[in-house]
Amino acid sequence: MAQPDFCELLDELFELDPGTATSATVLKEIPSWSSLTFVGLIAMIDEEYGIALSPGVIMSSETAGDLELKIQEMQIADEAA
Amino acid sequence: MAIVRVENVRMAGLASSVPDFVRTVDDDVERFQSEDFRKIAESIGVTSRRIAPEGVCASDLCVAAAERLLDELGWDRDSIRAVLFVTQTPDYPAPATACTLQSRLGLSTNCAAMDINLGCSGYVYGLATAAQFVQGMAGGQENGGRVLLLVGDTITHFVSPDDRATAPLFGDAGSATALEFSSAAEPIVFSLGTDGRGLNHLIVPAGGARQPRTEETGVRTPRESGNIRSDEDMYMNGAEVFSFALQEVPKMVRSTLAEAGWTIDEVDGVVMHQSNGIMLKHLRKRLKVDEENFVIALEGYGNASCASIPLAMTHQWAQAGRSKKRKLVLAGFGLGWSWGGAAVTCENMVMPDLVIYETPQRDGAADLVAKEAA
Repeated sequence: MAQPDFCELLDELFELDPGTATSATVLKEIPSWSSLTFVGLIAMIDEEYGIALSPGVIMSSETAGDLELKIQEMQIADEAA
Repeated sequence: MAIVRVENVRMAGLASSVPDFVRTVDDDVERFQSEDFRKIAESIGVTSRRIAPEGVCASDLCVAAAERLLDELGWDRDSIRAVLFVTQTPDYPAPATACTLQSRLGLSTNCAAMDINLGCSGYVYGLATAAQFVQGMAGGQENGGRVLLLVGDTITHFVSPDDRATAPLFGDAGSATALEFSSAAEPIVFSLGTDGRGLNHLIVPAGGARQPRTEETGVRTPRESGNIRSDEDMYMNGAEVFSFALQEVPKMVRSTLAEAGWTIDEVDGVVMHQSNGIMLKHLRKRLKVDEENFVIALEGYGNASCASIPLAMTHQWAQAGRSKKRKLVLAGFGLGWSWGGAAVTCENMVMPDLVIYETPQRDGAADLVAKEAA
């Protein structure tokens, strides 16, 4: 299965214009960032990547790129397990 | 998971009740001075919820449900051998509210009574306990060992009206479930688990022995994200709750199905704790449950804590006469962390319409809107 484009998914989730989010986007500076979109982000990552991230992992990711890297690491760890 | 298997016990009936007062998203928009609450309400699936005014207890809601249920069942009250009350909002710190319920409901003194302190998982644990009481007490006698399981919370009494994480979400409700021995009943299977490390993510910190009530614990002050609450109010970290649910609920449902020897496709209804709309929709997709077999009953009620599963069952299946045969998976999960799944075959149940509890006139209810008769 092809990997979904993480930044496109972020645009959709946070209702940004297509192409807005980049790997350098600081998550907590996204205008529509809230406790509710935070929950939506956990759901989206679970749905698209099959990974239930703990909120701590997301909070410790500064940028979209940092978070995508952690998702990829967890996917590799899951496959190895 | 801890597996409990109970033979020869049937659910004979179920009734639920809500108070006659509501709060709506309009109240939230006004209180928080923010139109954002319309979008929040849409996401969580709650634009209005039922609120018990101060002075109305969970036990009052449960008594209203129990009276209606016992009337429709036509059970002799002397035949009831145990009354169990699941709540986090008892009438008193002591004694157990279940003892008061024995006399309020006019039950015999040959009747066991006990409280169980659990939240979102409480209905499933209550059912597991009640079913084992039936099995142990019936002595193999048809319709013997009757147990009344009362499950309810006035959880909004723990909610600060100025905490945006909890105020728009929670509602109050009570329920009554009747169980008895039946040699024709299919086995009921429970799958239960706990992870106490979740303690601090969903908690009312003060008011127990660990942190007794003081002048300071009752003072509402600004907390994270500008939410205002006291240590006697409920704190909820929604993201942590969701993350926990994603980790444990699919595993629990799969374990419940496997122990019962069922597949998800043969299940007629999945009834989860009605946590919030976002979480439920996601769990439904994750478990690949058809939309028509997945019960969502948040609108008009809110998240009703331990009473949410029976309330959703009443909402979905209340009817005159007796209910048809349904294989159900019930899934409770939440504060503790505590979780429990049940695979139960329901048939010929008495399921009265939702009971609306009429609040006696009270001054404290002035800011609540009386619900017009539907």
